[in-house]
Amino acid sequence: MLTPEQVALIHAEVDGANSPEASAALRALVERDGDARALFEDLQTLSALIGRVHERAPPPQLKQAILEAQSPQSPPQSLVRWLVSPFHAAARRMEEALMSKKAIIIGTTAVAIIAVVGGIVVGYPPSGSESGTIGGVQQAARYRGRAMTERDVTVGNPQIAELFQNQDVLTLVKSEVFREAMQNEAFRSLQSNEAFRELMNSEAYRQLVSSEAYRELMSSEAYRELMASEAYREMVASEAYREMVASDAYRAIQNNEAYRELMNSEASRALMVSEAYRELANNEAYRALASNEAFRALQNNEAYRALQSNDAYRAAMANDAYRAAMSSDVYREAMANEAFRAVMGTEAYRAAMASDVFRAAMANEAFRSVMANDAYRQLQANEAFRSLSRSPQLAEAFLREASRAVVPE
Amino acid sequence: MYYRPVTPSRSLRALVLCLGLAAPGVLDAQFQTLETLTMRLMYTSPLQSYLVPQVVASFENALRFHRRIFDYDPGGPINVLMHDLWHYGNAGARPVPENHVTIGIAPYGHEYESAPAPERMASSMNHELAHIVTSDKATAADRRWRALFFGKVTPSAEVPLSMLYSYLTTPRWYTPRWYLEGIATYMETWMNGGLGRALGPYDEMVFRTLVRDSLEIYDVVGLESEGTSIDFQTGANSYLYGTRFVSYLALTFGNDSLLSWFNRTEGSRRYFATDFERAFGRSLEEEWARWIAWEREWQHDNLAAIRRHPTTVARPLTSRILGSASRAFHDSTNHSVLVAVRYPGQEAHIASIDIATGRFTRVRDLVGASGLSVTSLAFDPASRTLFYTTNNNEWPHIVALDLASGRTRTLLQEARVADLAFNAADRSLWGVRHDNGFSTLVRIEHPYTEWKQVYTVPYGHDLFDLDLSPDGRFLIGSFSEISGNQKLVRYEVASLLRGNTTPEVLYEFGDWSPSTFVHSRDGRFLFGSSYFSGVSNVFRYDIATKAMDALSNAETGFFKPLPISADSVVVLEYSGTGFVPSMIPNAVPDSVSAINFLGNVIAEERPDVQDWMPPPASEVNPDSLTTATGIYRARDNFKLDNAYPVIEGYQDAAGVDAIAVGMRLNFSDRVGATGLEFTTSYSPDERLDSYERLHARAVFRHWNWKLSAAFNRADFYDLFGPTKMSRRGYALALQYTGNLYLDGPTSLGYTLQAANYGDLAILPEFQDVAASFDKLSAFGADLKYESVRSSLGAVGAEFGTIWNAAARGNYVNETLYPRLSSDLAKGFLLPIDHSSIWLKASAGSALGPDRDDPFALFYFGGFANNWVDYRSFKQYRNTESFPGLEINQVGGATFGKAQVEWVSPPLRFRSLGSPSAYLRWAGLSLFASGLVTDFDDSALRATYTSVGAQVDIRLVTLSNLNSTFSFGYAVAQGDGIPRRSAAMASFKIM
Repeated sequence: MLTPEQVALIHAEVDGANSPEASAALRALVERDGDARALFEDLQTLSALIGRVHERAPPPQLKQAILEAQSPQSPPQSLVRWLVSPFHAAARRMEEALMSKKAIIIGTTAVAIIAVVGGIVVGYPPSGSESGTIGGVQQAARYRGRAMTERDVTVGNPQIAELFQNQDVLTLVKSEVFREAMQNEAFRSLQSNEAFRELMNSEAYRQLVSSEAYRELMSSEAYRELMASEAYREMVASEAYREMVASDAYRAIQNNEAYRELMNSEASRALMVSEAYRELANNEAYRALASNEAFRALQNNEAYRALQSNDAYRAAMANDAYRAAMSSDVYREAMANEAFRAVMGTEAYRAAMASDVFRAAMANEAFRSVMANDAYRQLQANEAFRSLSRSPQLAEAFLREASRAVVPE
Repeated sequence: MYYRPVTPSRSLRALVLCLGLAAPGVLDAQFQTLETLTMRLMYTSPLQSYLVPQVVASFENALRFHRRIFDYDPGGPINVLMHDLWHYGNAGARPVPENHVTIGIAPYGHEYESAPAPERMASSMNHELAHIVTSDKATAADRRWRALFFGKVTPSAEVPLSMLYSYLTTPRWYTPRWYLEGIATYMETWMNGGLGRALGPYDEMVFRTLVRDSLEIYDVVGLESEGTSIDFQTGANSYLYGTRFVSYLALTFGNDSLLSWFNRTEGSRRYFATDFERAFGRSLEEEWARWIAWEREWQHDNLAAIRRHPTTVARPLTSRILGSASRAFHDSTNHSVLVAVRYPGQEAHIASIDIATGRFTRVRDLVGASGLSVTSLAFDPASRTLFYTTNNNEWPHIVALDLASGRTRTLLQEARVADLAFNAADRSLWGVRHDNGFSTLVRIEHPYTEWKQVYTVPYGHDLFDLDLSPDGRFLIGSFSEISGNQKLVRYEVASLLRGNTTPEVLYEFGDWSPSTFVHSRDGRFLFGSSYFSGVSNVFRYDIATKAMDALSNAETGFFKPLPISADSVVVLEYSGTGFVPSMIPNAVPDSVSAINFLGNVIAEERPDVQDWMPPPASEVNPDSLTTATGIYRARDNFKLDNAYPVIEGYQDAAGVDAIAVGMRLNFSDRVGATGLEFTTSYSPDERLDSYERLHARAVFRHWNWKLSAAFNRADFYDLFGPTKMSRRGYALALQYTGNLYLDGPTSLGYTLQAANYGDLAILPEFQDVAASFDKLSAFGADLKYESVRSSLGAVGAEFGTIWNAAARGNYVNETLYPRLSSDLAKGFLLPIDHSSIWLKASAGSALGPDRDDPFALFYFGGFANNWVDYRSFKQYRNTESFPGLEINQVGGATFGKAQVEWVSPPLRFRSLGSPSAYLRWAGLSLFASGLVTDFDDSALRATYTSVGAQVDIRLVTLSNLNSTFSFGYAVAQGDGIPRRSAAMASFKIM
């Protein structure tokens, strides 16, 4: 919460009224205080906006209408408060400094807004559209009736239709893999799965898909082979795997520093590919990990032990593609990547991994093909798609439109 | 907005291409439907579903208005077909056989502000439903005819009597285009709250210019006979004149009188011109002449207003009038202006105009030029590469032309991108892509292999007329809103590519579109045009000071400015015959006065139009109106359109000519892709064998398929001859037509056909040739390449290439008689406007075992025109024709044929006739042919030669019916045939 003195300092800076010392103090304040920085930026934006408002004299009849519409009981301050509500965040702060010059400017803006509102209220017919004046040029008069507005337009989910203007979306929906996925029940269920959607919409995931490490991993041959391998498929479809990823122990280990170091260590890499297990015992990171509480808890975790003895898991561990992926630089960097780790630490990730729906999808050929598809990856990173995905109804509508948009053979 | 005749073939070809060569059931299934009590909406893609609520609401809103104003009851749901096959939005309507509106959902073009600016679904519905009302509304007498014929009749060339029936059931459909478009545009303007061509600066400019230059304003006949053909604005003249005349009538007589003329009520006269006298008490021709006098006075007043201050005198760069022209670019390498042009008589092309000498050089022909904008042009001066679009009326392609080498390269096929702008900083191309009703700003990186979405403008808004700053940092464009307000905006490119799509508004133009603003070479200024004063003048915007100044005070209009130096700006000056590239000084004039609009005076003196704006479409709840939704099925929408009596002729093998009377029934679905015509008649003539007195024919069409059956086929035109189509016996044929390639005027198509005949007496293909056997199975396969084009104002195809290869086979009496043939025709447009040379070569060979059997041979002879006909009037071009000889007089198992033809420019008739019937043009063709038959057998080989001429005269009746008189004369001679001559006279009814 800013003090009145701090608010005044900010206003004075925007007004250009600060001394050099005060400006320096202001700079220090905004550097250390997020609220101060936000208020300062808002006021700068507002000031620039107001600076572009042209003065325009309203017609005589309009002035009269405004005066007649004014409530004599309305105090100026509450009027200002109501009228600046479009500048919501700034308005809140401005209540704390009404005596500043900024308040006068806001009030002037409020009058301009009244003029527009009042005009609509009393039904004054527009005499012409708003346009600038050009010196020496007489503007032609032109009758205008009621101007069409957004109210005159009723379109259904245009944001979905807009999404299909994106070449990545078009590439995806025209692809064979997408066509198969659209016909796949597991895929469609996953898309509407709450946990999965929450994961897709999380900030952590957004950073992840924007990261170079992620992109490299997704486009690596090793990863693609892994996704396509039968062993991997069976592993992730297994009950043991599901329980493991759902366990607290697993989550803890994913966030564990020692574990991460282990994953990044040369020894860990060597372990994955050959008989370098001997070295592991001598590896500092591994020793630290071994003594780590969370790691020991994981080792004792029933689900984890079940997984270790699971045939599918063991087959996956021995699978060439899996081992290649795990030992690849790309994978290692990805696992060390902040964004990746952030995602794996989220509740949404865990819930998604643990869901039956996800399991069924991961076991499905069509789904895995889509996941590995470049176009789909780009789609997931698309801001418009992500916005749409936040709404279950819109997401479902998108899938429906996408499947209908595909021309059948 | 231009009306496009709703002809099924063109749209269906494109639809079939879009949907692939799939089974008809699948094609049907791509159409979705939604029904209300008043509307039957069909749309061609599920992706268009987002627009359905707006279309339904706009339709209902407009219909309620028209029902109230005209007291109109459509008598059932109106069909609306929504598609996305055109680059710019457009729509059309017809009342026959059912009320039908076709609407292309793409954003409108903004060229010269010739189209209304507000939300286009509402605007389109306001306009198209006015067409439906004025052409469909019926009196009791009309309804009786409709009941008698089981519906409204569509005229068919096969049954000329259908023309009469059609007129009786829908008389107001047989009116000139200006009549229909005039009232529709007038209604649309006031229903849009004043946004439309009845209050449009473009229309004012056109007539102001005609008056200033003392050019003729067409009379009511001249407009249709010449004005819609030779003028560079062709069909747009119907809108211009129609809107203007209707507005004049409204001002002079009031809206009640105006509407009474268009409202088909009891007591109104069937023919529109006759009804004019009833409504206004004077003849149409007289009042039209009064309007012209009034118009001259009105425009003199406006010119006087402009001339209150010194006007800008533009110096023409060249004496050549450009017709329509694109945006221009300065090629500093050779100090010339590059521009795409389109004018009557020659193909559209890219031209170079020397600024100093005015020398005009044709650089490259342009395929698929659009009406007013011609093409979207961009220029890379560093590499001297011109980027332009072809196929502009459908889904444009982007092409690059290397000016140095002259080589072109198609960069992106069907990219659907126009409004091109080149970024010199990184060599990228920017443009606006139209797809599924949206405008999307796209960027195409060098080497231009794919476009990338930058920003999709929300529906109802639009971005157009792009330009990039010389340093590549900024992109400017014109932005329009749902209200019709328009502004000049600027984006910082780097910020835009990061996703910041909020523009900087440089200038609010309100109703007046900022057009083709471009950067100066130093990037400090922007030059563009606007109708700010009611006249299109050039404006200069100073980016630093944010000041907008006028640079001209034009009498007609200046457009598309191109700053080429600190002192001078090249502009396109509007003239009565087209745009003239001219130079004006880069200087601010004294002052600029505004003109007055006819529409303003109407709003003031006839204020009832101010109540014509319907309430917001959002007050209509589409969900509450919907009665059904689903997938469109032809079988569920197949119905009887009409049925009417027919008269036919029949000639038997003995040469007995008989008359038959009967009925024809026509069925079709709502989309027009499926139809059935069934005709049956009876000849009471006892000279005919009893077997041959009953006649029947049925043709069923479904997308690419056609199934036809006939029994003792009779034909109306056999009443006249000499060509006879009637044949004894039965026939059953199945045909499939497809396209391997379809791109604008170029296509590669094929036709496969199999047929079975029985009880034959004459060969099905060749009359007067007796069949040696009465049963026959025949097959045919044709492959046809066609790329023919014509210039603006042409009367027929003027140049291009047609190639056809055909395989035919007759299977008779266990013997197969195959034949192969091929034709190649090449047309060249001469430097004389609308004059062509056509060269044609044909060859064929019968491959059967018996060269003497008539089933094995090719036959030639005759002009092949009937006395009364419905086929092409240039039958002499057919391979089997040979003017001068009798029909099928000569034949052979092999042949080679060549023909050269010269087509003269048409002679136009400016005003010869009356509104109900007038002559439009006359044309002369001279041709010479050579034929050799059995060239592979020296004993049988024969050669023939022929020279001839044909004159064709076009007659238009009831505004819509094009008939042609043809007169021909030819002299022929050959081996065994002494020189002989033949004359031909033919009347092609439709």
